[in-house]
Amino acid sequence: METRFHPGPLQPCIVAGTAARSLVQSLRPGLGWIVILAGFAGLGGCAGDQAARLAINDFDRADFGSAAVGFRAGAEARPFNENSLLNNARLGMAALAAGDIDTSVGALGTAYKLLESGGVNDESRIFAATVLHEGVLVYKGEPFEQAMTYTALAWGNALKGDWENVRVCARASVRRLADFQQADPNAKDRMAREGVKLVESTFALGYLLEGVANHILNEPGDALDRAVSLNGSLRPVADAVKSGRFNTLVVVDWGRGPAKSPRGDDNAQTQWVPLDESAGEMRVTVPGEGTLAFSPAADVNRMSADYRWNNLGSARAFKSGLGTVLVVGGVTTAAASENKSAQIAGLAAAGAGLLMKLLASADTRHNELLPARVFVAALELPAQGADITIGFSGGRTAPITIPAARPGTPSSPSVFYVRSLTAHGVRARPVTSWGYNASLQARSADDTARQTWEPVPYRPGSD
Amino acid sequence: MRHQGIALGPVVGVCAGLVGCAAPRINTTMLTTPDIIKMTDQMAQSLNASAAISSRSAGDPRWVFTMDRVTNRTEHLLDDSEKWGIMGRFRANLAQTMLARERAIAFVLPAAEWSRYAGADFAPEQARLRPTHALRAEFRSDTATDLLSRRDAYLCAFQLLDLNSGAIVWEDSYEVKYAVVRNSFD
Repeated sequence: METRFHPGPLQPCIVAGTAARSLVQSLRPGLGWIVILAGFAGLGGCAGDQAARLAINDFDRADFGSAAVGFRAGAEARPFNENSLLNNARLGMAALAAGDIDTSVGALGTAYKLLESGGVNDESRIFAATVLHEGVLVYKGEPFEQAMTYTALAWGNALKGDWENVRVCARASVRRLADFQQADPNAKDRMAREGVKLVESTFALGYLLEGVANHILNEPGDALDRAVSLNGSLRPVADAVKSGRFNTLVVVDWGRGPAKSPRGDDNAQTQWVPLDESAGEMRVTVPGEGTLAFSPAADVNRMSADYRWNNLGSARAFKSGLGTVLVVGGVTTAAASENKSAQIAGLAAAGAGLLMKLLASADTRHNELLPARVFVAALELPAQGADITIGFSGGRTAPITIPAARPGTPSSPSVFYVRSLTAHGVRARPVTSWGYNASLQARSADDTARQTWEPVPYRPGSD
Repeated sequence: MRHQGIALGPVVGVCAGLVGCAAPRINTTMLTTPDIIKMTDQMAQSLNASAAISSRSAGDPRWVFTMDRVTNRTEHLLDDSEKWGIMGRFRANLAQTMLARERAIAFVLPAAEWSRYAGADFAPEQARLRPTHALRAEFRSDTATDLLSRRDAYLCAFQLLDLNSGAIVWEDSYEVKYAVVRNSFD
């Protein structure tokens, strides 16, 4: 019987109601009804979960438009709830990949405000999270998830040409990770070993973005130098920006980001599991200009290992241990005793223990739409424009061609955003800043065929 | 594995119901609507009372004001509609006074906005009054953060620039500070 109460993916809807009834029988009757009613109210969450699940599947199939539609209801629900930030981040990232830049910036802007808000997890939520289940906390995500949410908003603003807001987002991503690093004693030790100053973030992509924005806004700063000092492979991009020898930026979010998975007794601990690990280098070919290779500007899998924030782990371990003691003690008492009252008490204790073990499960909410790698290329396209072909040395991702890409200028570069997924075959979709949204023209039947897209008109704010 | 984190709705519902959790609210250090109202009211009064404006009369050569630049160098988002909304309210405040008539001042749209009226039989640039002065705003902030708090001290500076000489005819600023306290779960 005990295994039934280990929460698999779909069991908690049933288990929670059963376990809650067991608990409330040992409490006063009036409170019991309140809890049961609250449980039914919570069943509404199942419908939202289902919609999110379907939308994530759509995203994994590179059907970004359908994914955005699936996330919209959850993101626009008011008043805000525990998942508002997560759903807005998901909607923003799906809409960004789909080329709906206005929706993306709007949703990620809401996520930004919730991330920047203080006190969204008030005392009652923290109490409930500690004593009951931490899923009651308003999701804010791990530090690296927060940084990537800011980064997605930066891409959206770059596509709109709003480099002031790109700068704001880039600095927010860097600052957020720096704040966590300073507060996390493990990070302090690690950074000290690596010789990194604690007041700084190690998020090279954030510094790179800030440096590009500063260059375009004519703002002084050393962000590009910091980016290169943290990730030497960014030097070609930083040098191109500093020297003004670029007129086009290509950003590729590659692969699926890591998944937060439960582990340990009663699923009380979590681990980040990489889903897509190796893209190799990104190779960008422009006819007549040659091929340039770019290493990842950010490795999200590595970030998930570096930036952890686990402040309820001990509470979960305690609940798991206490639950085990109650189950063993209760069952033993019920089995050994011939006294009916003692048997009932033992079974009640075992039920409470089972509920305790259920509630010890870790909160594994996470943003499934994050990439595994982020690549940034600064290109100097010829004035008449050119085809841009993007490939990866890792071998699992087919080349992507953006035909007749138009250049911008160093002070107002064209921006191309591509969301590339490798699951279920190769999918990608370029979004451009030069008045066009790209629609899929040909979809490959296998993992190695070349894909091209035919740009179609897009008017900001018209859809 | 990929969907495991989104299947605990009922458990969350039970927990939230037990403790009566309130809906989360946005509580940031961003500039607010009352700030924008207060800021633009103050700036309009200040400009009206400035020596450069108050010394003018209806018979003086007309000054043509454009609003060509709003710069956000704070550490918070401010999109175009918000930035130009601030300048629009500033201009509306000025227009509601007798400033335009009594001080011989006209307002024109920024060049980019005006150019949208271009048509087959209308060349906006030729029809546009040539600006003599530019009203500009620049928002900056001194920001300090750590894991448990964030403080933003804003300086919203406004200038009236003589486009013939480059002289700053008037300037004033609006300052405001905000702070939020976070907990380790924020």
